[in-house]
Amino acid sequence: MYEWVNLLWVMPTLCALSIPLLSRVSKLLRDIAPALVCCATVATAVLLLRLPGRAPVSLKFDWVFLPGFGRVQFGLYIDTLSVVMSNVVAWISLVVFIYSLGYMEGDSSLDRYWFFMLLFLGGMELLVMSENLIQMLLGWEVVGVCSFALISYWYKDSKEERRVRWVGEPPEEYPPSHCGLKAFLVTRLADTFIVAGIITLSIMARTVSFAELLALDPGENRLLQATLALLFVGATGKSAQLPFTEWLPDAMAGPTSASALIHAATMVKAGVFLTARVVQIALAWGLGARSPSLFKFILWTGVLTAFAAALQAVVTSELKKTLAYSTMSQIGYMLACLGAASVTRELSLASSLFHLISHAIFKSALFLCAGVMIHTVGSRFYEDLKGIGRSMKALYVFFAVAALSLTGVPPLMGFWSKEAVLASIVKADTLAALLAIATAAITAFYTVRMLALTYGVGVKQTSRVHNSLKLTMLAPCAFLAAACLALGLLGSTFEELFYSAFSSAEPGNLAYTPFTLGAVAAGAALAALHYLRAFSFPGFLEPFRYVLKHRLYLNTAYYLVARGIASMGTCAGIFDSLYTKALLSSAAAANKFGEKLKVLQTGVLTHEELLWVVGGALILALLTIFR
Amino acid sequence: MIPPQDLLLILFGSAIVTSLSDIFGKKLGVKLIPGYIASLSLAVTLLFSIGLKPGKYSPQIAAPIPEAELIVDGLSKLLVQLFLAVAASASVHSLSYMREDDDLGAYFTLLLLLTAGVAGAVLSNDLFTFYCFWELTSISAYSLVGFRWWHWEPAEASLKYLFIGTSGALVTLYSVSLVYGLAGTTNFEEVKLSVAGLRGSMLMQVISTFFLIGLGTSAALVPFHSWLPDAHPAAPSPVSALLSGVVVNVPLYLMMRLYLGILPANLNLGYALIAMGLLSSIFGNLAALRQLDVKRFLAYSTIANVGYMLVGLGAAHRALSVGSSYQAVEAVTGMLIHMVNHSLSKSLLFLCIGNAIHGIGSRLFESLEGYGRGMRLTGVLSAIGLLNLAGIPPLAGYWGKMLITVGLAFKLQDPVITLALLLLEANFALAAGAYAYFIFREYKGLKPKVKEAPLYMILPELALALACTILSLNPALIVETVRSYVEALLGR
Amino acid sequence: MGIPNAYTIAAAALLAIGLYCLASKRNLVKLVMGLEIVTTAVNLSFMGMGMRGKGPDPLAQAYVAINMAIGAVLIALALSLLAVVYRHYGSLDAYKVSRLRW
Repeated sequence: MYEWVNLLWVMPTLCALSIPLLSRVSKLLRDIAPALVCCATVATAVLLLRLPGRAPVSLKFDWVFLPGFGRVQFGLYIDTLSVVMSNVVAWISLVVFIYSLGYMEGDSSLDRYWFFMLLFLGGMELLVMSENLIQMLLGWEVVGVCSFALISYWYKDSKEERRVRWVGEPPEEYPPSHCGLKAFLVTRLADTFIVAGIITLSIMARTVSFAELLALDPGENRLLQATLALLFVGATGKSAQLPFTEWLPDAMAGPTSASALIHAATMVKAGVFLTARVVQIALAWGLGARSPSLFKFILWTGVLTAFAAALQAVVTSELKKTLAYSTMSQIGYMLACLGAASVTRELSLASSLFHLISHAIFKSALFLCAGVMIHTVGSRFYEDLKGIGRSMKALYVFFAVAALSLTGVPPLMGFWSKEAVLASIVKADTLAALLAIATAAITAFYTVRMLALTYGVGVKQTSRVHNSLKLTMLAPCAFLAAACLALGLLGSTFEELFYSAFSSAEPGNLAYTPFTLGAVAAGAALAALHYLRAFSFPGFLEPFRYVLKHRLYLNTAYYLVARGIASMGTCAGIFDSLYTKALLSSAAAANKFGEKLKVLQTGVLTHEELLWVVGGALILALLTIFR
Repeated sequence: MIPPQDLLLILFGSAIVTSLSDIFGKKLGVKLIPGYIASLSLAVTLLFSIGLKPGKYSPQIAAPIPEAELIVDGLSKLLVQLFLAVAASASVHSLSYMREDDDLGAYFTLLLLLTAGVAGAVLSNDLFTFYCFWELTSISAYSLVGFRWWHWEPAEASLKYLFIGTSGALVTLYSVSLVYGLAGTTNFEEVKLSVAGLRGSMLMQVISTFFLIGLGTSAALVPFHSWLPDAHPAAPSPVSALLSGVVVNVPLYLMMRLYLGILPANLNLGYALIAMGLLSSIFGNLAALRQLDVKRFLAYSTIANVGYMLVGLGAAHRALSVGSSYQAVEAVTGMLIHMVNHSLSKSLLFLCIGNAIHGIGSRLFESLEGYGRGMRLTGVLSAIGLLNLAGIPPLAGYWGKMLITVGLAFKLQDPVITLALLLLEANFALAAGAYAYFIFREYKGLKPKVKEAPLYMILPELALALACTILSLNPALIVETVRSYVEALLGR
Repeated sequence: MGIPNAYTIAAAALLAIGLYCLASKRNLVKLVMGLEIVTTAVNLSFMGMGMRGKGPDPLAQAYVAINMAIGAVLIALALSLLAVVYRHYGSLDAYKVSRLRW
């Protein structure tokens, strides 16, 4: 009955495959079609919201029966988590696709762009609706490939576009092709953990289906719990949490629409999705009470990443990099909230998802506005962007609204979601909560910094004439900012509706609001003092600044390891050249042998008959002698 | 529900009508009337074949062959439909391809007779019935290969095909006479009962060997293959498609029925089958690499693929002889799936190459190089066929090869089998490389000045490619059905 | 009469002779004769196998009759192909009719 849900991923994938055809027909058609398909996807996703009942629906389709392995099935698992995620993905994709119409206009390889954007949508929907881990892994890989392709979209690495398209400052300046590869390899490294987890799980639990795993009773099997940890570590890779953080800041080399969709709103949330599933399974196995070490692991990974990333956001000199670190930090919040599930159970799941939705909205708004700014000015650095806020007032308003939502200022939506998350974390671990509140303060700091730098306080008004912004670029930003505001004003009602979809979950109270608001105010005040009143920081903070600028040396560590492996590769290179030689000579030998074999066909009928008779006689003799 | 003799009747009847219609065609000036009638009747027969009623039939009236018996069960129905589909595709393709030839009444009549022979052979439940229909097929095939006899190449190729093919058919018939002597009849079931106790006897070995030699000739196994590399290039492309896709598979089908149901299982025979299969595939793959003529390349590739099927058959026979029927089912399922896939893909390939040859006018690789750039759709369709043949998962061609490997790979303490397994996998790799090379050459080089092929050529290729795609997307469709038929056949 | 009776042994011998002829003669007409010999061998084998006590088995007789008809068609086809080949090559020597090689 629910087979139509498959349309969610089938439609975008089919459209992706037909992009080359459509572009031959008409370029306009090729540009409009993705938006139309996305509308259809949104419609399907919205239909899902009206599904009755809270019990999850699990559909399975047989694909093929392999001897010795059993049935290979794929299917859909429709529960609140997947419905929410698919809606987030569909809606944000629609907004970003419309934005892309204006942002990417005039680019020469739009076929490639649309193909990967649509394929990404299909893969992401497949990922969130999948019924078992292997199918989810398929979606996981597809979005990984699309992410790689979109980061290195401007793979030609032209030096002229360096101020817009590259990432970083010398000596850590990276071209887009390098960034794409880096993202792919780092997430790949994390994927090995997922694969290990799936293999172990399938051996020990004999199933990889979510529905069956939830119903499983693991007893005292420690190894089974360890597989969940493996899956979580893999998820951290996709979500750019410690220790797999280094790809996300450099992923900003891609087009901003891709950054908004993939690296802010959806793909990085895939890790959160997987962690949410892991937490669901862990709760169903009763691990919350018995052995909460997994949850503690998740909690602390999230909180530490949130803190470290926020600190690094303070010292960035590029607009998109600030937003990237901010994304890492907020996802850290979501994961920390999930880690609190040992205490607060479904409530934490709901709160984490709530923050996910809210973050998706304001972060994509931030990215889209940033994209417009960078596109107009032609540079990604703050020093060039100074004053842009003054010239594009409407855009700046949307930007500011989204930024305030990020900070958690009432009555915007970010406030409600942050409160919910912090309430869960506080119940789980006090130290972690303190760190989280400190992070909120730092978030406020870097947000105000970002706003001040783009507004250009103290910069004289330049006479920059900006062409009227395209509606397709402005409207999405407006829409998202309005959503932050509207959903925030409806805050508590929305919360009630949302939480009622999760069984036995009540929204947290606002008992800790004074602390958080106090922290936010402190951070904001500090930033305002520095940037608006030119208050300078004491000198002893300088070494910290230096370390943060160098990305806590984590990036350097990665490159050191990579270089080490590469030098090992030269040894492997010797083996490789030997192997290639062997392969080539065997191919040459096969060719020569084939040449010799041709002689067998002399073309003379008598000889052919002779061959026939002799062959037959030989077989006859052999078979009669050896009976 | 239709009895099979009606099917054959339609085919024979339309053959007569086609040959007569040629007169009208010539009077009216429309050469292709026989072609339209033939294609229509093949399409109609294909539709009717969906309604074949399972069971045994003894058509006393329709066939003058005494004690003829036809059987319709899952397998024969599937194969009849497959062969009819390929024949229909070839017939529609011929409407464009043979446009410039004369004597088209004869051509299409022969086409229909070939199809009738193939259908009857696959449906037969009796050895002599099979032989009669098989001779009908062969004679039509000899004539079709030598259709353009005013040119030296088809004449020579047809002559050689006739000689070697007839030698093979006669040796098969000799073996049938030995069976007749043993059992007093040539009916499959009665023979099975009579020879059950003769396992391992000298006479049984001789019979099995002669069947192997005879049917192996018609199936183009090494060392009986010499006619195939000459016949394929010389024949018109639709006929080549039929040869590779249909004619070569029928003796394999009979071998399967004989070695799995009727003749007792013998371990050494299993080894012999596997060895011959490997020999064919190695020879086919290696010789294909050095070919300058595209159709000769495809002909050698057919030899290799028939080798794989024989390995599957040998693996099944060996499994039966050691008592393990599970592996036998897997191996035979693999062989049949490979037969279906090969039939569809190879005919698709031959038809697409026919497009290119018709457009460019030469059969050599260096003249056809880059045809994929000029004829985009044909290029894509031939790529589909090639990838399917290469057996790259998840395309349908992979499943046949995988199941054959599964059927072969048990009781690996036997060094012969381990060696066979290694050689088989090496062959798969080699073949995949050869097909990839083909695709590469398809697109390499400058665009030859050629337009896309006419509609009659494209339509059947689209249909075949669609069938391949459907099988790739849902292999359970074919794997499960064939497996159930095979289990019914082996009585599990 | 059992299986190895005079007729069947003669048939086996004829089969061997026919195959030897096919494998060794140069002239295409002789090769056609070789085919004929093999056909005869098979027919004889059928009749030999069908000798049951009083007389031949009518089934075997029917088989042989049909096979003769098929054989006739084959020979006709073979000879006409020979004629065509002669027109192209000017010779009936198997070694000369071998432009198709490798």
